[in-house]
Amino acid sequence: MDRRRTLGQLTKWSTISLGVVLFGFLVILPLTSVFKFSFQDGVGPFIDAVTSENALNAFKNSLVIAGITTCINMVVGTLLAFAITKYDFPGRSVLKSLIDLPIAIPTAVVGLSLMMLYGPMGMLGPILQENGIKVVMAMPGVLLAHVFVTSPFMIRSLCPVLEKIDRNVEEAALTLGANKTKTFFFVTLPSIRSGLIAGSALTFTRSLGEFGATLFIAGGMITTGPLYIYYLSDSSFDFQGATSIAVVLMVLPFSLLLILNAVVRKMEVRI
Amino acid sequence: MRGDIELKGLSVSFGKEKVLKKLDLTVKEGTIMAILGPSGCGKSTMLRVISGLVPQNNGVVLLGGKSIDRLPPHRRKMGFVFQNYSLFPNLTVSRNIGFGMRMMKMKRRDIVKRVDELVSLVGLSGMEKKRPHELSGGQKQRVAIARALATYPDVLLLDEPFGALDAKIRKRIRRDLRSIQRELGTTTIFVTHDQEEAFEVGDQISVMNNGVIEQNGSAMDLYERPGTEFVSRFVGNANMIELPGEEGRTVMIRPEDISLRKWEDDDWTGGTKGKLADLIHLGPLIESSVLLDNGDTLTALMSRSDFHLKGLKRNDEVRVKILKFRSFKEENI
Ligand SMILES: Nc1ncnc2c1ncn2[C@@H]1O[C@H](COP(=O)(O)OP(=O)(O)O)[C@@H](O)[C@H]1O
Ligand SMILES: [Mg+2]
Repeated sequence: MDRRRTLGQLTKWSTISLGVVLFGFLVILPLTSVFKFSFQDGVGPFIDAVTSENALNAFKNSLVIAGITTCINMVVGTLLAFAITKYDFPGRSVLKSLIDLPIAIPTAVVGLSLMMLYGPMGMLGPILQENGIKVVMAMPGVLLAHVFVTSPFMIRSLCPVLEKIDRNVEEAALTLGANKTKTFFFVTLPSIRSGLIAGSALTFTRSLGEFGATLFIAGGMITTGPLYIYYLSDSSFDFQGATSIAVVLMVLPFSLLLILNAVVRKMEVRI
Repeated sequence: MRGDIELKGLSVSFGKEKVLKKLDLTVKEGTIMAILGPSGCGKSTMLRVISGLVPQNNGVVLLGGKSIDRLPPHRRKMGFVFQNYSLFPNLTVSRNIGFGMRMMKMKRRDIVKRVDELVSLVGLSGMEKKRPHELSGGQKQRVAIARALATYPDVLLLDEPFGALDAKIRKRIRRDLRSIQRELGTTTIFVTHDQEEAFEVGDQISVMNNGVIEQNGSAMDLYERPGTEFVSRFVGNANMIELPGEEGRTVMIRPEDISLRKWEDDDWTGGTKGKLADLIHLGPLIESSVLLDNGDTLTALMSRSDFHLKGLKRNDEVRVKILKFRSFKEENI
C-alpha cells in the first residue's frame, strides 16, 4: 500500500519535472537568450534601438494595422459568428468547418493567394488599379492579409458565448418594450462582451506578430515590427537592435493578454 | 369588454408540422385562464403568438375586440414570464424589474417608486441589489413576475412558470401569484401541464390537446362533466371499461363513483363480483384495485373510515356497484 503510494508520487513528480525541463528548453531558453542579447551592452543601446526613427515607425505601423484589423474583425467576425450560431441555412456546417481554415494555411500561402488575386496578374488587381486603388504593396493588402489570418480567433471566441445566450432573455426584452436594436445593445451585447474582448485580444496580438503574409504582400514597402526585426538581422546584421525590438514585441502583447484575461475573468464572475 | 383577449381560428405551422389548428379562446378581463395540456400540444406556441414572438399563419388575436396582429412584440404590452426565468444576468434585481420602465422612458423617480412597490408585492424586500445568480429559483421567478407586471401589461402570460421549482415552494408561489393577480386585476393566461396547478390557479380552465382547446370551463365542469375521453383522463383519474352486459359501449367511471362491499353482505344485492387485488394508502384515502370476473381491473377510491366500516381486507371478494358513469358518444372508442 505504502509502496504503491510512493510509486504514485514518483510518477507524478517525474512527469512534472520532465514537462518543466522540456518546456524550459524548447520555449523559455530561446526567449531568455533574446533578452540577454538585447541588454548585453547595457540599457542605453536597448533604449536607442527601440526609439530610433525606423523602430518607432515600425511600431506605429504594427499598432495601427493591429488596431484596424481588430475593428474589422469585430464586425465581420461578429456577423459570421451570429450567422453560424443563430440561423440554420444550407451550407452552415460547411461554413463552420471552413472557419478554421486560415489557421491551417501557411502564411506564405495567404500572402501568395492575395497576390494572385489583387496583384497585376490577378483577377481583381488590374480593375482596381484602373480605378486608382492599390492593394498589393500597400495598406489595403496588409489589412486583407491580417484579417484573413486572424478571423478564426474572433469567431472562435464569440461562438461559445453566442450559443450560451438564452433566446428567452432576448424575447423577454422584446416583450418589455425594447425594440430589436435596443435588445441587441442592452441584452445581447453585454452577454457576448467577454467573448468580444477575448477575441479582440487574440486578434490584436496575432496581428502584431504576423510576418509571412505581410512580407509577401508589402515587404519593402510597409515595415511592421516583425519585418523590421527581419531586416535588421538579415540585411544589417544588427542583432543587438533586432533583439531589442524583439523584446518589445514579446513583452507588449504578452502583458496585453494578461491584463485582458484578468478583465474577462472578472466580467465572467459577475455574470 | 375593453380588456378581453380573444383568439379566433389561430393556426400555426412549423414546416409540415401543424402546431395550432384553428384554436379559439376567450379570456375575460381581470380573470386568470389556466391552459392545461400535455407537453408538445402547442401551449408555448399559443403564448408566443399572443405576445407577437411568433407570427400565426391564420386567425386573429383580439384585445378588447381590436386586432393586435400588426403590432410587433415590443409594442404589444404583454408581460411574459418564462419557465427558465430568463432574467437579465448582468443586471440587479431592481434593474431587472425596472427594465421595461426604462424602455418606456419613464421618469427616474417614478421608476424607483414602482420598483419599490413591486419588490414588496412579490416579497423580495432586501434583495434589490442582488444579481440573478445569487437568487434561488423561487426568488428568480418572483423577480420575473415583478418585471413583467412593472409596465402595467394588458395581459400577463405565464409559460409553465413554476415547473422548475420544487413542490413546496411551488405551492406557496402559486398562492402568492393568485393574491397578486387579485390585487392588480391583470388579465392572465397561465400555462401548465399540471392538473392540480391549473385547478388552483385558474378561474377558468381550458384543456388543450393537439393544437386545439378541447374543453373550457370551471374545475367543477371539467371534472364532473368532461366532454371527451382525453379531458376525463387528463383531469383526474378515470376508469374506461365496457359496461357489463352492454357490449361495445365504453364508459368512464371516476374512482370515487365506485362503491365496494363484502360479497357476503346480504343487505346489498346486484352489482358485479370482483376481487380486492391491491391497496394503495393515500393518507386519508385508500385506492383499491378491483379485479372483475371478466378480467377488467377497476380503480376505486374510498375514505379510510368507510373502508374499515365495511370491514374490507385485501383479497376479499367484493360486490362492485357503479354509482355514476359517463359515456362519450361522439368519439368512437
Ligand atoms: N420555432 C419552432 N420551430 C419548429 N418547431 C417548433 C418551434 N416551436 C415549437 N415547435 C414545435 O411545436 C410543437 C409544440 O411546441 P410547444 O408550443 O412548445 O408545446 P408545449 O409548450 O405545449 O409543450 C412541438 O412539437 C415543437 O417541436
Ligand atoms: Mg412549453
